[in-house]
Amino acid sequence: MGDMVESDNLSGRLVVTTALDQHLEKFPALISLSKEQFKCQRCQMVNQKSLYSLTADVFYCPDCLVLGRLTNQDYLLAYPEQNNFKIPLYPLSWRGTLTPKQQQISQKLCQVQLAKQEHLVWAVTGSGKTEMLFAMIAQAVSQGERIALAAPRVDVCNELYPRIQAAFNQVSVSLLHGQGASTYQYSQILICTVHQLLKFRAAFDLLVLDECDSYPYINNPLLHQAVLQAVKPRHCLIYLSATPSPEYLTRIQAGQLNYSLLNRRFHGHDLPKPQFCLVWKHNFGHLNYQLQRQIQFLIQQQQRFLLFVDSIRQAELLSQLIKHHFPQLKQTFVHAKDPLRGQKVQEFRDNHWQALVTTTILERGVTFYNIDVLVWQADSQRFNVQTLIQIAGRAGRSADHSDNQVIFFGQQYNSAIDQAIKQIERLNHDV
Amino acid sequence: MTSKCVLCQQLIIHEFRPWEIFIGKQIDQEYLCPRCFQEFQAINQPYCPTCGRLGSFQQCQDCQYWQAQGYRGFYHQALFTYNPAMHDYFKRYKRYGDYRLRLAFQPYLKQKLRKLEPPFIFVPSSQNHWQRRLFDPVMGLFEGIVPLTPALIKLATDRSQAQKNRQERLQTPQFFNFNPQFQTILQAPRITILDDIYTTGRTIFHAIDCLRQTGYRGQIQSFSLVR
Repeated sequence: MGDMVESDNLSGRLVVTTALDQHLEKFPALISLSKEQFKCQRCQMVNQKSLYSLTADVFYCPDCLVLGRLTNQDYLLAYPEQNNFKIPLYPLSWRGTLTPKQQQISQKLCQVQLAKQEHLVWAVTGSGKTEMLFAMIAQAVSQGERIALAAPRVDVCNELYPRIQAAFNQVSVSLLHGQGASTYQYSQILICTVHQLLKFRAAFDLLVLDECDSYPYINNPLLHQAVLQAVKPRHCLIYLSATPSPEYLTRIQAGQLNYSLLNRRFHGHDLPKPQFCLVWKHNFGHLNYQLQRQIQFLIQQQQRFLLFVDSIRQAELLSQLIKHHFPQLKQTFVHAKDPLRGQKVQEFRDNHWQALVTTTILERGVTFYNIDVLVWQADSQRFNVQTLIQIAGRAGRSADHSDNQVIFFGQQYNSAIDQAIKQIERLNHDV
Repeated sequence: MTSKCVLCQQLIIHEFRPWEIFIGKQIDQEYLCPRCFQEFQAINQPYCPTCGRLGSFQQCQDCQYWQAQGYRGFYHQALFTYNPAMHDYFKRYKRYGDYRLRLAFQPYLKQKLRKLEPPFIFVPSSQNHWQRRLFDPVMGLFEGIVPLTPALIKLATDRSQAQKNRQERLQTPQFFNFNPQFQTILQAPRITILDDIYTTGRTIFHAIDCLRQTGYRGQIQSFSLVR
């Protein structure tokens, strides 16, 4: 019995081993391409030996280092996927209902799963993407398939895990990412970060890639490779996005990728359309007058709001300036390097703060009840079209407050701002 | 000259300052981009006169402790504080074993170490650690900047200093041996000990003890990247 559990845990995995391993199918972790270059067989990245050498003839791969350093002394071994699952009669324990539009996409996904195709679901922020997947996942579970739901960020995985667990309480579901203490366990449904997919080889029949347009997945060849290696040769791959990046749009235009569009939120109201506010001067060391007036207005209305900025430094600076001008306003800042990050966000949720100055860490995957959104220096290079649309999508997420305001402050009306506003308008118009 | 930041892989573009153009001075290769570098906190005044700890011109509590233990005339210097960015750096460098990160602070170390005197003795890693990492982190930091003498040998300990709390660190018994091969350096009037991180000072004072036990009577000063 013990043996069986162990072989299950190896099923579909790519494991690191040594030269002493007698297994016939082991292969070297790093291979020399030339005198100067080598390629990693786990992440397929090519690097220069001279830059990444430890001793005269030992070099290491810098790209997949966080999963455990591989050197040219290591070997890899890929165990074939067994699909050894106990299949429940009724996998889906979720009893909610879908809107007709969601229903339509849900059915489409079931067809895609049967035909083993790739498909993009373009669903606006707050439209109930996850629920549309349930029927397809249930169908795959019944067929004994192995399923992965991967997302680029840990936060998204953590939010997804309990929802999937509750919806499929008869099915084995596990969560895997670098910031958790939990050990890996073989399960039919796996929720993990895209990085973790590098530890699998030809394991999944169905892979759902959530937030496929977000950092760090976007423009990252390593993570793209991770997805391609983790699925079986015959697989179904579903991309989910609220703001598909050019990568997907060009594939759609070239006819290489099919997609379904859901441009209504589950409550049926329009997405809040951002307004642009031209700012003349960023008077340094002072709070800009226009921003000041807007905050004053929001305080009078007792409206809670998020203020997005482009850097950690700006977040701290602006929070200080606001504190100076409006000492009565309960506000704080949050960014990726903030040790109290989780706590502050929870406190904002619990109404402890009226306002939060934040970097783009809160741009996606989070839902707050009834908030307005301000973006300071929206013309900054760090805000691209996808980011701006996602940020705007934080507003108006509940049915009774679907008319929250979104304001972009900037010195220039640049193409990212223009495209973001136009794309939101377009999504609102074609129903 | 352009190169990539070893931490974020962004291209570093050196912006020439007027005097650099006039003097025609050769620019050292840079390994950190300005955005990554600004995350680190350099030690500027006020700092502790005997160990370089940031905060006050007064001698810090750690140094008072060592003075109470009977140590006299110790003098330690450091470049940066141990802040979250530095924690992250050492996690990547020592735990994940990204050896290329040894270069990150080279230009700053080069500038600083010019003012210190040889011979330089570094704090070595234990055999276990070496086998796991396949490199010595302290040697990596200072190699190629100053000539290093491997005069200390680290004995096996049950746990590394990093895994212990303050009290446990301070109570750790001597873990260095002097390598008799390098007897000749004991003739020098002054010896500099190099380490990566100075936390309680335990490691440095063990190294000092070790040198004193071999009969060294000259001056000993020490330097670490981080205090």
